[in-house]
Amino acid sequence: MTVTPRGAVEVVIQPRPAATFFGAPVADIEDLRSGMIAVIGVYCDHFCEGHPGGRFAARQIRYVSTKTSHGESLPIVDLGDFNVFPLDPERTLESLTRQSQHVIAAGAKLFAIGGDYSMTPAIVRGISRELGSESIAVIRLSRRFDLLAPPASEAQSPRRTSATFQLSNILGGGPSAIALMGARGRVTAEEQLPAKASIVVPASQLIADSSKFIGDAKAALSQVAESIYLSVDADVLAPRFGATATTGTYDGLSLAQLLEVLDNFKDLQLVGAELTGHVPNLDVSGRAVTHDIMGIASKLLECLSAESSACR
Amino acid sequence: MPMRDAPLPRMAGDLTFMRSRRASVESLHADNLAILGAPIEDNIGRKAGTRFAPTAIRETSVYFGWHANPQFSHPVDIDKRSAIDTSAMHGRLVDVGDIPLEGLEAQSAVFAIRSLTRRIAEQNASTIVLGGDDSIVEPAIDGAIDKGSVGFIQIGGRLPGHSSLFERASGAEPVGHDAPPLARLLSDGRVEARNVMVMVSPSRPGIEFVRDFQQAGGVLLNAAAVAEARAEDITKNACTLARSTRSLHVQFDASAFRPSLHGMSERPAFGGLTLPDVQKVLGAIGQAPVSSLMVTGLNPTLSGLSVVKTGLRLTVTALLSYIYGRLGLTTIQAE
Amino acid sequence: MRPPAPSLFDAPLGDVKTVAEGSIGVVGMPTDWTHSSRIGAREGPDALRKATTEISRGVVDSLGGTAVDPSDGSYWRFNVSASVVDCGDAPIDPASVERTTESIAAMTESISARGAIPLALGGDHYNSFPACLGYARGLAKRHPDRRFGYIQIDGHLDFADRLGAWGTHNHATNGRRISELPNIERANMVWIGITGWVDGDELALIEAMGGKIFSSGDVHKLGAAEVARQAVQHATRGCENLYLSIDIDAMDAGFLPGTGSIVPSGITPRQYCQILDVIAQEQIDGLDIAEVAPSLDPSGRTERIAAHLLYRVLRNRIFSPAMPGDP
Repeated sequence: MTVTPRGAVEVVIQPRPAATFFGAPVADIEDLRSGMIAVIGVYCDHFCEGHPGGRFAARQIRYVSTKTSHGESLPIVDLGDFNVFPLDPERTLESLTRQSQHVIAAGAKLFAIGGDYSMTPAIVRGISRELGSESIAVIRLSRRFDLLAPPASEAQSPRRTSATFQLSNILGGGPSAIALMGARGRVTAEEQLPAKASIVVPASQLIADSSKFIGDAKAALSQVAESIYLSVDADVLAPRFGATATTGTYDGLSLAQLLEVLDNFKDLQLVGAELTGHVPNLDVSGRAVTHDIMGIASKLLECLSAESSACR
Repeated sequence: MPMRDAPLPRMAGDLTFMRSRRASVESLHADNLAILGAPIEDNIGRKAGTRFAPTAIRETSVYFGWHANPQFSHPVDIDKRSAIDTSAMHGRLVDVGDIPLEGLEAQSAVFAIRSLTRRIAEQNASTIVLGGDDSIVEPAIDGAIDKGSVGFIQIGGRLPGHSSLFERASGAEPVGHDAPPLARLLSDGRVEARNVMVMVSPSRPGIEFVRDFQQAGGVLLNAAAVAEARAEDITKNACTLARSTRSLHVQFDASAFRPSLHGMSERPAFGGLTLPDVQKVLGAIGQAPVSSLMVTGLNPTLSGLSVVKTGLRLTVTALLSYIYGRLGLTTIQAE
Repeated sequence: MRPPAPSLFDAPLGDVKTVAEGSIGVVGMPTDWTHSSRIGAREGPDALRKATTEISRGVVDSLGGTAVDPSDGSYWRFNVSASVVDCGDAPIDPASVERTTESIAAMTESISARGAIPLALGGDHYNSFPACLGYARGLAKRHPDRRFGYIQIDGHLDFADRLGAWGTHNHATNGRRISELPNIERANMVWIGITGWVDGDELALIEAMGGKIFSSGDVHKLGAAEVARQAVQHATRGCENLYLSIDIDAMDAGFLPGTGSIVPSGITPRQYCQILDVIAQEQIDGLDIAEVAPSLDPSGRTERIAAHLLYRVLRNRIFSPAMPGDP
């Protein structure tokens, strides 16, 4: 506002330049500082089976969240979208790894929105290159394990079904550095082999008593690593709450249950988080599901910034 | 390594209009053609949704962001086999963003639109205002009226159904809030009929309005007349209007298109123009020094949700003719 | 016996090795991973199978298998089982364009090498490259000395070398990749239905190599049949073999919105059919149809119009002449 010499107040209206995550200012890597949370879109669902459309999640969440005021109260910036190459998995994974590493190297935390879980190993690899693979563990919320070994010819395959397997090879703690929460329905026999055992909290336990079972899981993870990467897939929700690429079962968490689960992670030292699996064009409710996903993203931001506050 | 050293996939990242660069109002100058979104509508009924048009038009327009794509050489119109050098566009076509109208009461919204369009006019830049419905027209023009008389070209859109607007006897009832914008502008003399041209309105204007409007010097053209008109004559008329007034403003409403071409107009009606006719009209008008072009009435939520739909593509294709003309990339000789 | 699931025109199912010389082998390409914007064409093969089955069952169930063409009073017998085999879908690998390309090409090559006609159902239009790649390899096996002509009915040239982050193999580059095949006659490449603006460099390249472009404006001005005749003449000069690529997005979006890259002022359904009627008289020995995206058109007319286009281009093969009174 400006005040004229006669005392009348003149309101100067500025255009809103772009839809950003939670109304956050736009920034680039060079602008990042320690303590910031860099929210970044993942325009890529090209290597994942099931219905495509996760590539549009980041944009839709920007649209619905841009008018909220998180951007004013939290130290977040919108870093745009990762540079990806939709038909070149090797180049895409390399780009995600490099760019994730840059974000962490700047002292910021990373929050990736959109796309699917097949991108996660590349992001975690980038974080681990900066912080050391021994110091990171992953908490994954999804109805699936994704523990299948990739074909021998594809060690770096971006397949979603191999993502957790690849994470176990990236993290210094191996499978014991990964907590899988929210699984339900049937999994392949191969994924149940003891050698691939991670800390597992199925959906039924999360619904029954999330605090207890998550507390046990956190205690086990803390023996392995201090820093946590929190990965949430929309498919952990029951189908009526979510719109995802594949729907296998009728049950899962409600939105309220998931938000309650996420509250348990506020005391963790989170280095980053991601929200994957939302497919906006399957949101037949109009935009209701996308608003729910925004709610989950908002809660994840609280988790990321809560630890920031605790550490100051 | 900088994040932006590689191209993003086509629909990723910040989707500005035609992938143009963002600019602040303060940085605008006379050479600029500024895109400004006005996501607002009066309609709260079943067919509400024109407020989503600015976003939807931007999404569609990235297909046409050739000038910002280093792998694209230059566009050639495949029918006319005429090439267009778009290299000058990148610095001149800019996206200013959207007027923050969400949640504002009507009066505050009007103030916001008027205020921003006035500030852009003060920078001497030309604007394309992406509405919204036709409630943006009056405040956008009001922003320019302070500078003097205004010329107005309306393509499509609503016209008064009855009652004369040219009797300003005392005690005459004021024009209602929901009246067509032209009715409100004429009724209190903010715009004079002799400075107005109306093309192809799908609504049936009242006989009294037509009589008084034309007697007062206004020009009213139906679809057949527009289809037959030569581009040079349209340019000539637009230039004449621009010369005889302080600033020329144009409203292009989605109802100008034949509804069989798309389903995205709030007020579909029989008649209307084909795409080549609209391109002719907008391309011709773009040759004149137009202060603002307001795009109204496009509702992208009709016919279900999607990323790019027919009516949007039609509108952006038509807008290109205007943009190329307005930036001097294509020319029509007007006497 | 009818197949348990819809097949193209209710054709019998079979392996590529069962497709006899001269008949048509259908290969589905349910992928749109290489489309840069509106996705949905992966559902195209299924939708085409359902929609063409409606046509064939209408003829068989309602007309008893014999139909009269009202334009000339001729009698025709529906005979798809003797002329078409539906070989199912090619395995698609979303993680690898290369593997998907070879998967599709392997099936169309197998059909083409046997002297049969591969008909590939897209999918986005990139997939016409692997379909044509397989066809070209099969042709090279049968007739190593022959070159083929090419007609692409499309709203877009698809002649870019690369499309930004999408690289060199996507729905904007299929025409260019096809032009690089060793046994295509580049000067005999023809486009029909191009609309709007094109890249100036791509246009210059096509004209320099001797290719020919008929815009949708040319179709409106000269007439669809005349454009098709000129196109065929250009494409078959000195070539005994002809490949046809049908991209449904050449059709005006007002009629056919269920496709990824819609165009305004495109050709009308009637014009499209007239073009195909002319081309169908020629010895096409490989073809594909692409960009049918049913989820983008809730009315369901897109796949039905596309099915009718297939019917027009194939009707001389799936119908055989009959006499009045034939059972």
